[in-house]
Amino acid sequence: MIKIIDNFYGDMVSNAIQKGMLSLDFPWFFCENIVSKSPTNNFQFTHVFYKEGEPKTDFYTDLVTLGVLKKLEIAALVKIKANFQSKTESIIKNPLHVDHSFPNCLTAIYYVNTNNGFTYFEDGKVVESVKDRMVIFSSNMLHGGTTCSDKKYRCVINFNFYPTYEV
Amino acid sequence: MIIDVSGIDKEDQSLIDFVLVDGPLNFQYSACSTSYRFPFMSHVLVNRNNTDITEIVSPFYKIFYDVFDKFTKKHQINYNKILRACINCTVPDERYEMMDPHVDQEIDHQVCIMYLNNLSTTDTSGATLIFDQTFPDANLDEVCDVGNVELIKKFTIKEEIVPKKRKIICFDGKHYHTIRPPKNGDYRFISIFNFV
Repeated sequence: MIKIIDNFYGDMVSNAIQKGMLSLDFPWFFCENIVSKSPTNNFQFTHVFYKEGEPKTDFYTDLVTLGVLKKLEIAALVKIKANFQSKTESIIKNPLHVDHSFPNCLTAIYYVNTNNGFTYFEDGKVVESVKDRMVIFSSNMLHGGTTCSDKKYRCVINFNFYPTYEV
Repeated sequence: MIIDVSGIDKEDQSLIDFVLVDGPLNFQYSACSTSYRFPFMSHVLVNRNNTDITEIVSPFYKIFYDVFDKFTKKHQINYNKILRACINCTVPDERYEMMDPHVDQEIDHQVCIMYLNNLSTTDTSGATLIFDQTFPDANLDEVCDVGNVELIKKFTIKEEIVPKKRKIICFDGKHYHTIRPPKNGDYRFISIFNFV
């Protein structure tokens, strides 16, 4: 099941998130390959907020302060990571993958900006990149992201977590 | 003009690869490089400032400074001050043949560019263009809008440098210069030192 929540934070907070992540204070790290270690003829910048049971950045606090744990009904976090891909001439699909195979774990993707990139699934379903949209699905569902060709960048935040409710 | 194809020694390049690719060196998104047409990712090593102090702002500074220092010693280049140093990552942009011609500083200075990765598509992908025109003699602004066709026609290419990992070039900063955008699938890492 794929659940889509639009206007997840509202204009004021979503604008602040976008502005903050594109500010000169926000660090991005270069990744030569996407999804796997094998070359994909593409690259991205990432920022890990939370991993291996602990915050990895001061910006984790900012994110949590926005109430994301409560809004997503998160019981336990696995990982939070932001991805940034610059514009390409035409849309490039990143490989299909699962974030991990933990049972009953969910993946949520938050779209920081609107663009013509999208998240696609093995069964052909597509979720468009719309600013302030959150899409939630089981972490073991094959999915992939893309670049965009109509805006300067595509930026998302990925959450992997165990929810407070039964999946 | 100095071109040293093995200006970065192998040991230093290995360390640079380690910190740069899937490593701890962080970049910041900048919506404006020479103009808002060309956003890029940058890591500042030395802040621009108008004082006599070289303001180091990165824990990774020494890695790149050591390369710069070896290069200047090897080529017997004297310097008094580093005006600014950074690492830039430029991403593909097929809209333009070149980005905005510009000079980095208004004052007399030298430009040292270290090429930190190989580009995979064509020789022109990510190439540095150095023009005959100089600042302020050409009576042009520091940054010239590549979208202004008539203005760009005034520029004539003096040198075109193919980016190649480990290559370092050094030239008089009064010459306008720019880059050919990387082709799709490429990205271009350089470290720039402006010095006097």
